[in-house]
Amino acid sequence: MTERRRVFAIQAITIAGILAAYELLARSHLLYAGVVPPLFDIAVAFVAMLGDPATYTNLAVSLAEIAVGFVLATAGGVLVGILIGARPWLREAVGPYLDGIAAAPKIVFFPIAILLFGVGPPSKAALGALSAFFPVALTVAAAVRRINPVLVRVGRSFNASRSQMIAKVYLPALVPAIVNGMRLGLGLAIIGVLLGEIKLSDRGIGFLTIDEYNHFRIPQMYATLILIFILAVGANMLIGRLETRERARRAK
Amino acid sequence: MKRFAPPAAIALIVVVALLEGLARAGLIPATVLPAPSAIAAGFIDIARNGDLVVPTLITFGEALAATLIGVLAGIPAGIWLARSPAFGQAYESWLGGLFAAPIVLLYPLFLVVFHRTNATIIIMGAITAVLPIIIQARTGMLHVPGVLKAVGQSFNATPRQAFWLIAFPAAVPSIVTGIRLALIYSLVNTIGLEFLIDFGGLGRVISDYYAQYDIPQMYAGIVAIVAISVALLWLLDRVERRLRPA
Amino acid sequence: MIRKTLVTLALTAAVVAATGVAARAADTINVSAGQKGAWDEMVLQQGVDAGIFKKAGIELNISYTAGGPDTIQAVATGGADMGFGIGTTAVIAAFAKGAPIRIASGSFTGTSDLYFYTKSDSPINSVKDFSGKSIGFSRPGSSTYVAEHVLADEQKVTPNFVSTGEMAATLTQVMSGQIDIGWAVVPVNLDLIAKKQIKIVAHGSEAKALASQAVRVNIVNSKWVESHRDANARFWHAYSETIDWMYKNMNLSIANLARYNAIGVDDAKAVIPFYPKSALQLYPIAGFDKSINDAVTFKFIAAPLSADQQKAIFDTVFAK
Repeated sequence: MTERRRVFAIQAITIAGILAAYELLARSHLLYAGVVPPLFDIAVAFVAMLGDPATYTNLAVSLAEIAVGFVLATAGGVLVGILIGARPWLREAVGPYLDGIAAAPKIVFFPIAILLFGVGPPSKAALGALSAFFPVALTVAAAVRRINPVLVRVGRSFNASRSQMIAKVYLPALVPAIVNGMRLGLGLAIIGVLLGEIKLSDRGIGFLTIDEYNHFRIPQMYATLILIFILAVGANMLIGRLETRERARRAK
Repeated sequence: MKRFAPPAAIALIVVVALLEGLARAGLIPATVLPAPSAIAAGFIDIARNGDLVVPTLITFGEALAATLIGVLAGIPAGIWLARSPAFGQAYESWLGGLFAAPIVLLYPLFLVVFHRTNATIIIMGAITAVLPIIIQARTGMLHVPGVLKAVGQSFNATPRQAFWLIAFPAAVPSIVTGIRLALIYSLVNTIGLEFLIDFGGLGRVISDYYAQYDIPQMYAGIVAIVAISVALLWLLDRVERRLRPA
Repeated sequence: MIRKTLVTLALTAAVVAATGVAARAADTINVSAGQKGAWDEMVLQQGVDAGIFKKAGIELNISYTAGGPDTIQAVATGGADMGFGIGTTAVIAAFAKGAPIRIASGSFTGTSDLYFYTKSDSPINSVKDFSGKSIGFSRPGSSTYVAEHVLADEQKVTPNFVSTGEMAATLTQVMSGQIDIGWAVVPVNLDLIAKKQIKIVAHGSEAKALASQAVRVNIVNSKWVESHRDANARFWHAYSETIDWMYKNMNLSIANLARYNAIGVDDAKAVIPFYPKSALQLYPIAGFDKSINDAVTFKFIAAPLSADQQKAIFDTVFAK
């Protein structure tokens, strides 16, 4: 069997195995039947969810919140990362606090988000932006410190202005770090937005999940969670592939 | 100048003074961000209520337990994936995708299956912790420098020796990075989960004070978390530097 | 030329007048409620669907929170102008600690919407059997917490109180044997009762001390209400009208409820006995002194509200 087919076979068998194990668990009555519905029920709920227009309106809201938050976080993170990376005294002054806040779960800043942006989608976007900001800023800051000094000297020897230095020397050298930070940040943006929807919202895919939980519509909740995971993992894999292609392109 | 006033301390003093001034001028509503002096008073209050030391230990205990499970399960798994190329390739993209997936969103599911106990928090933390360790262990094993392998071969090393004396030690720095990531991620997830389900250590403390509208105490708890994270990162940095060969 | 100018001026005046009228005709109010789907929480949506708020020139932005404290935060920060269905003790505590909120009306009086259940094969059949058994409540200070303690005190039983969180988590803990008695609010779990998987062993209405106590209230943001007196008054009269409408047009309001909860009309109808109209009484806010005592007993506040505070906490259009 060729390498590729072997890999595919392993993936297929693994998925089948997981599904079989779940179905066994569901039928074993080890757990209360209500919380482990049979695969068939989940499949039915999944199909029903795909056919429900409300799913797509909620999904659109969440995607918009994530997109806006992510873009703002990337822009802000790159800016702050460059500032901190380029100025050692700033890094020493602010760095430890950035690290500390980065390690705190952003959902605790939920009241501030509500104050500044109200109860609608903007506050969820803000939480997403806050969550995604730190990986980008920290990765970029680290990369700025590692920029090849030769490149900087070449730029200076051409008497490049500040904006030219940023555009032609710094930014291109930072692209891999930015993409890496974005990859880490996207996952956190998704989490930040969806948890915000769970706490306070009337729409979005996170809100849908918790609404189904509150009404004990468990198969539907499984279906929504599966959809969320497919989209989140898919988005992560996409950016991962972008990163690999970037790396390969530069290696040439 | 640096010896007498480290920039980080200066920054803190500046920010605290600024916030105190804004709060007293009434520009920031106390219901959302109390003055630093009020937060400090809140800090004393929660310490006196016994809501500081024990919950911190509980939270750390949960995160450490989760990381330990991650280490015990993740390192062998990562090594196995490195030595079985077909399986390694099969699961590579899945692991990468799962790494930043919103696992914490599964909490309603875990609540109904494992109930509101420390076990739920630890298990969810363990899932978050095991992923970076598997990825880093596999990466470390796959990138043993050719030079080292050649040296082993020139000594006619047995497979066992090649693993324990060359490959594994070469992978250790990568594994240590993975453990570091695992500890940080499991701590973040643990606190976030405690906040969401109102159970456990520091996250629960913050959630309780939030529910009772004791806002200064809530922020004191958040400050405690940030301070502990800073301390933990500093500690990890020292440990990592000691473990890394010069 | 003069005619053109006059026509233009006239049209402009008409447009300005129209927009002025339009602007006044639709005041938008941001409202936040908890527990989407419950009969008393859905008054807002019922009023919107029946066109009652529109008639009063009010447009509502309705959002749902994960619980009372989140609703309080939404209102306190100004993100929402009004909050609905919040535990009275939590509101008293927040007000005492400086939150810019005022009680505008009662939300739910008594605890008739609450019921307690066990697995069908459990030996427990009434409150008398509660001693030594474990009973779940949502969180400290909640109406479930208060109701259970009152029930236990009145009937002199000593159950073990366990914090189980929301209804879904509580249900699974009962079904898997972790706790003996669970709590729920209709219409949740009614299908399981019909399927005989669980049985009701006690009703919240059995807690006599709470029958005349408003356990949940509705609040407004103090700054918003001071600058929106007219809209506020129109809102509350429309809200009161909606409650009347719900009870006078049961076939419509029950159909709405079924739709909100994605359940059948018969299941929705089964909810109504739990909600006598008197339970949704907006004013007076019954038993407020008792609520203050509860807030002290359950350590939400250190000392009872002062006389000034007791007056200042209310801002209601119904006190005439």
